[in-house]
Amino acid sequence: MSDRIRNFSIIAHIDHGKSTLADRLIQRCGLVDDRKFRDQILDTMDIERERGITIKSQAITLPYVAEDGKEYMLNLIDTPGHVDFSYEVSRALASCEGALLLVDASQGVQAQTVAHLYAALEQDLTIIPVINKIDLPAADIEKVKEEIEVELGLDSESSLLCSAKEGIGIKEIFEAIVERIPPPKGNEKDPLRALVFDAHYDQFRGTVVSIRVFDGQIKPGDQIRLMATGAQYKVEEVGIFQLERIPKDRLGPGEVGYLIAGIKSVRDVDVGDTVTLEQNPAKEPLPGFKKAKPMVFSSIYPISSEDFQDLQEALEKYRLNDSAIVFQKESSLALGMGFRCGFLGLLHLEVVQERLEREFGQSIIMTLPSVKYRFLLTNGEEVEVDNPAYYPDPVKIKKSFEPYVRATIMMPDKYTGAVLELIREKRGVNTKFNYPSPGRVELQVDIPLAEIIYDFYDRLKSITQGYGSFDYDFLEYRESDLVKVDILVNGEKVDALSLIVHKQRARERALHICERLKEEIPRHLFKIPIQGAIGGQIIARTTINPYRKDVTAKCYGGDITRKRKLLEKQKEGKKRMKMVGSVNIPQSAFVAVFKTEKS
Amino acid sequence: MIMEPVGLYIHVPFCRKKCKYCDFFSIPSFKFITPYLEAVKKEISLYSSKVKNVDTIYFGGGTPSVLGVKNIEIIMNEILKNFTLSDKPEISLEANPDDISKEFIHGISQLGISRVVLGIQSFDDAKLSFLGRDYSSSKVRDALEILKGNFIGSCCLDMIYGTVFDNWKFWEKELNNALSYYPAHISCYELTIHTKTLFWKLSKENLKVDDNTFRRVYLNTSRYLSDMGYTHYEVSNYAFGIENICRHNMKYWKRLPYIGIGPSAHSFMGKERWWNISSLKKYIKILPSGELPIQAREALEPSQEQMEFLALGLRTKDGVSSSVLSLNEYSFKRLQILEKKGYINLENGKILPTPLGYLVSDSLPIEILG
Repeated sequence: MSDRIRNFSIIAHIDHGKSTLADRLIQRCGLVDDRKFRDQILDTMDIERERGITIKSQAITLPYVAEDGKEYMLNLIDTPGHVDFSYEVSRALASCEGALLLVDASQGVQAQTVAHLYAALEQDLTIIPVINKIDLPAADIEKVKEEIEVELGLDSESSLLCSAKEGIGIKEIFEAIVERIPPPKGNEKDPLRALVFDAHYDQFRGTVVSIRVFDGQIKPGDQIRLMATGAQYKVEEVGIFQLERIPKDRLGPGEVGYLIAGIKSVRDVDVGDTVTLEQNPAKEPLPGFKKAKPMVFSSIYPISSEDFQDLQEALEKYRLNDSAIVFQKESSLALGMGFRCGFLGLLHLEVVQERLEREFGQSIIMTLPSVKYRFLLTNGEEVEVDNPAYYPDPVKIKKSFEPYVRATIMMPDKYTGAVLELIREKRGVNTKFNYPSPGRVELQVDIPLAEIIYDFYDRLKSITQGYGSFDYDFLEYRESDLVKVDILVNGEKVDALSLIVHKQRARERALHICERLKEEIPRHLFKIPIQGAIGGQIIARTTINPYRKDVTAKCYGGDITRKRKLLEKQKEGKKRMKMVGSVNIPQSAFVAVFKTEKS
Repeated sequence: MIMEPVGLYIHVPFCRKKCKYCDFFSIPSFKFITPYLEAVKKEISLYSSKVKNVDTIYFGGGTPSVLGVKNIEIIMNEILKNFTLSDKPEISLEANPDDISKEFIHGISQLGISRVVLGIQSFDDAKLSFLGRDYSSSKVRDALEILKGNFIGSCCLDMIYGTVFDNWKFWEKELNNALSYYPAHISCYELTIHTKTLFWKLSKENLKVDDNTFRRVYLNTSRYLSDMGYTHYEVSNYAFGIENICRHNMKYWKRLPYIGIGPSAHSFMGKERWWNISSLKKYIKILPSGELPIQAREALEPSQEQMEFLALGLRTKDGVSSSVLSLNEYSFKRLQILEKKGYINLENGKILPTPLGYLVSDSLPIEILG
């Protein structure tokens, strides 16, 4: 049976046409009729469609009758396309035997192409290079073939040509999947081992767990155990995905599908865990399990403090479908009650923010993203701090450490100078050069994660006019010279604006925040100094001058109403401000500071 | 029926032409004066069942002086027919320099007009033309001479400053020109570019001096006129001795009752404000039916009254008594900060604005209430 199954994934740099190709494959095998066809079926979230990024893994089983006359079940496992979700990507890839490596015919090989290829090769996948968008006027197939050969070390002669948009070359892709990708191995008689590569929440059925069966089989009524957590459940339903869930009697070796077992929340299921049977458990779980760890931290506060309860409920609900987010209550003098949250990365943070706003109707403020720092104290204790509020007493800090990543940047070589400048500014070290093909440079650099989450990607994009691509992996903690910068408004510290930052960057960051605040805080009737300080030392300063004048010359003929209504409106507006000392700071000021800090 | 004497405001919506800065209700045509007078008479009579005593009358506009003595007399007679005038009533009439003649002044004096508010705006030809005023500075001087020689009542001047012309040197000259006629009252109105004005439509650039300059000019003006014996009793108003304070306008700031007659006129009584429709046509059409031409009314909530006490009281030298305000601890803290910064003085339970406070009087209420 399993010789009629092929499990594959599509890997590509962002915008190289992954979702379009997936849609075309789904359409060609007749799962959806042409009239109902809607672009990008697999990216179901608005935010995925808008950004062109897949955030959650999804699977779909495509029935295909090949040239040899036999019907095959092709399981396409769509992987997230962003470095924040690289662990999910690795689990999705581990569920496959092969991958289509999609390269844009005009843009060629990019940083994520390489990163994804390496990830696929780590799982020993069979790679089928596919050159997409061959219909574009700017397509340069020969050049891209050369890049595939030279930069990726793949046999370019085996490359397929297609235009997913125009539907060219789709049949050849199907045939290559059947011919080149090996069928899954695995023995039905062995104890069950199924890999969890995703989970999502269904409000009627609870958690729907996406699995790939390696050995044994699973069917409704089975008592299962998740090997990493030890949790046990009774299977209610198994089946495959074909745009909707199609229940099946059982899932056997090589099959990709889902299980429903009364699991309340996606948090109860870890991606990468192995499902086995309670009665006849596997001796060893499948390799590669890791617990997802948050890398980026930020606090979420409701714009209006009365909405705290609402926000809490929204977060609880949101968490049902996102196992990676972690949060706990905290309170700030300036912003009231809120939550400290951990995210996989900056994109994950943005996804959470957007979904809370759009799908849950929350008006929120998110504080400056931070990484997790480590401090070795004079008493020998080591502490981890992801929130400036818990920055240790500076006199007790012996050494401080910050996380570094190894970043890979690919670009046309004419941008090298400007990018090196950016890397230097961002405190990158150990830059290594690679010239994969004429005119192109690959840089490898060790760089603090804190710098990556602070406008690095936007700057890189703008410096390279969009031609630079970038990917990174966590490297290690390295010793650093960290300070805590406080922001003082009219002499009062605004706790929500504090940040931990490398000493070398402190002045610039502080000044930036001070200037943003100056733009956003309305004039008062007195001068308001805004300062950035390290301890007692002022490192940045701006001033908001008082009103020069604010008076209506004439309220003619006793028309008082107009004037009063204006005042009432202003008073209403002031309710939405946070009072710090004697200064009213509008919520928009926090939003502006955090936003510009991010982008 | 209210026994307390009220102020009567008569809105005369006619003008020779619309000035560039004007956003009051007025029309540059005299075609409808006759039906307007009929409607005004009707409106006055409709209030006779609600109001008995009147102690101030103010003819504003528009340009009331374009009505001529005869028509003013018609309105005055209707007022006398319906209300009882108190002893020493204050009866003000806004006038344009164009309309001032010996005959006119004699005529209105006989009607009991006690204040002529002459809207000269400036003594400078270029500035007058910039503002869209149709007369020259010599006309202004002529009108003032006529007033000085023939009017026994108070001569009051309306002037505009804060235009691009008005650095302190220029404006000081304007003030000196005004002072040479010994006016009983000077109103100095800052040029404001309202939406719907010609200025707004033509250009919003280069019309005004910058805020810093205006601030300096404003504070200098306050000091200069005070030195000359004028009381800076309201944001834009100076009286030569407190006996020359405009009692009618003070009713607005002190929340005393007043009735507005004419299109777009505003009224206030007790806890209620209402205002007439801003259409002469509709105004003329509605009144013959015996209905008041009211566009809208509002009954004031306590919180709105609080806002008004502050917003209006802080425009005048008498300030606002903290006993009418329900202030919390926050507000008291704010008051102390404001006093320290020189915007107000706190004396005998009163919040009194300083000239600096006048300059930001729109911010003070919110600053205090939080």
